[in-house]
Amino acid sequence: MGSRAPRRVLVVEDNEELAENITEIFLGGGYDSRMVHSGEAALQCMQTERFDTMVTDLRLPGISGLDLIVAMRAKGTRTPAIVISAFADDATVKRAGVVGALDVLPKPLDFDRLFALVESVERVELGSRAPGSSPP
Amino acid sequence: MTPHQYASIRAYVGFTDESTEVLRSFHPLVAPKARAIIDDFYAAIEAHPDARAAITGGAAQIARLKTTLLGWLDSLLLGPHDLAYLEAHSRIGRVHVRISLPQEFMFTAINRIRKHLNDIALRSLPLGSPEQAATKTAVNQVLDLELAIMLDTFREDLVDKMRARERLATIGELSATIAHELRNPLGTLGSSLFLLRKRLETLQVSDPLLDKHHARIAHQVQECVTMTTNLLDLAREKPLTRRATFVAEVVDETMRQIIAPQDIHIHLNIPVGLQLYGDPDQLRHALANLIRNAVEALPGKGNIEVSAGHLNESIHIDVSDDGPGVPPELQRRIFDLLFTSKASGTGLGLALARRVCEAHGGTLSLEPSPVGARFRITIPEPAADAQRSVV
Ligand code: HEM
Repeated sequence: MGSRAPRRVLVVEDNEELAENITEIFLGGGYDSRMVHSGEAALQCMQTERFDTMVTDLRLPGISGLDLIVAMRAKGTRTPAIVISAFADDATVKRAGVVGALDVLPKPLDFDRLFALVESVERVELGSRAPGSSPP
Repeated sequence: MTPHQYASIRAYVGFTDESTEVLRSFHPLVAPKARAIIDDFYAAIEAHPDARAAITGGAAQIARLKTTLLGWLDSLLLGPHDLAYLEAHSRIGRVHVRISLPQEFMFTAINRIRKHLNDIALRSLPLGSPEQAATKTAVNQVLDLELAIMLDTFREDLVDKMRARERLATIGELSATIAHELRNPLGTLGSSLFLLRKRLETLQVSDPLLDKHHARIAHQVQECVTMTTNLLDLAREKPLTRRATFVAEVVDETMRQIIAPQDIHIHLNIPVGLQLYGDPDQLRHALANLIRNAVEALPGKGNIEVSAGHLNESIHIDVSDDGPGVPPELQRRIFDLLFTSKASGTGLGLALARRVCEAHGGTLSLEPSPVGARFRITIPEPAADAQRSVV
């Protein structure tokens, strides 16, 4: 209990194979990771489980990734969120910032960048500062 | 112009079969002076630099054109002003559209003819006679008709161009949708490759064949990603986010995206401290397309130079290679959307790069060079640009 448990990442992605790959990559990187395929499932999942970071697709079958962040914050869940998107136009990036996403990463994912981002969340949290804007 | 429109415009200017008769009887009076009218017509063209520029074939062409214009004048007066006439004279109009003659020249040119014919009517027909009045009316009517026919060919051309653009826009939307849909499969491919590589590392497997094919798939996936990015950017027309940027920084960051075979040497020659005012992301994208093109143009080995400097009131960035160069017959078309001379090309890269440059008020051009190809980006410097936007 006292020693550090692996960090938990929730992956929200409707393409099942892609979701599985991302989850597997996190598991391989020493994280504990779970996947769901919709925003609604993500909200449900977060009612019973705690995550250190959420990685969500923008376009999902039900509510969008950004709506998910809004809904989650409304329920008091402060888990830092990273949005991934195949079509991150400037308006989306701006709106993602407004709803408090950590960053928007384009698809296909650059995993080194994704890891760096997730790690930056850890560092920020260990330094007990509120997760702020993305690193440069 | 459709037969219906022709009938309509004939009615509007008041042109009837009687007008044709009047013009026919006027023709013998004009014929002896036709040569002089036409000499004056071309003298006016030659006296004007822009009009003269349309005549590219020198004195020989003018001599030829004078003969065709004599034929035109005969046809104008003799008619019959039927649908065959419409077709023949529309064809003449299209000749001018094809040589991109500015259509405003047509007004002056027609008026020049109008003045001569009216002068002849004034001098050769009994002053104040009904015949003189009818002739002047018919001359003005037939020239109004002629101008309408000529200008309509310019309109037709614009409509054609607009349709072509619409078609292209539809193709653009469709390809953007497909590009977008390809992102998830490509993402899955990419992440599976990532997992494979990690697994191979964990298992400490080192096998040249596995490595080669892993790298090959990764490279092709990357190509597809680039293609989809280009397509999406093209469809999206991102607005510029300009700021003062070091050229060296733009170039260095671009180089990180470039994968070149070992025997292709890329030389950077960027003056320290050289700055431009532009959107670094989009310029990187344009530059990456140029460098990638250069890499692909080289037969697996050779040299590429990226250089930059001041040029007039612009900053230029040149990408030159010592490859085979662009064949003369392709030079005009390489910037066209969907034009490609490469087996695996999409015809997006250069079109996109040019659009980025033009959005900056700059240019992208193929410059003459003794060997290989030299592409030049120019971006106006802020002072020049600011002046331009004030005007
Ligand atoms: C009243 C206006 C005009 C008339 C009736 C007229 C008539 C003609 C005719 C009959 C031809 C030959 C078409 C053929 O090849 O079958 C022609 C060609 C040409 N015209 Fe005109 N023209 C007019 C105005 C002008 C003006 C204002 C310019 C230039 C400033 C011009 C430049 C030329 C040139 C360069 C060609 C040759 C195009 C080519 O075949 O390469 N024309 N024109």
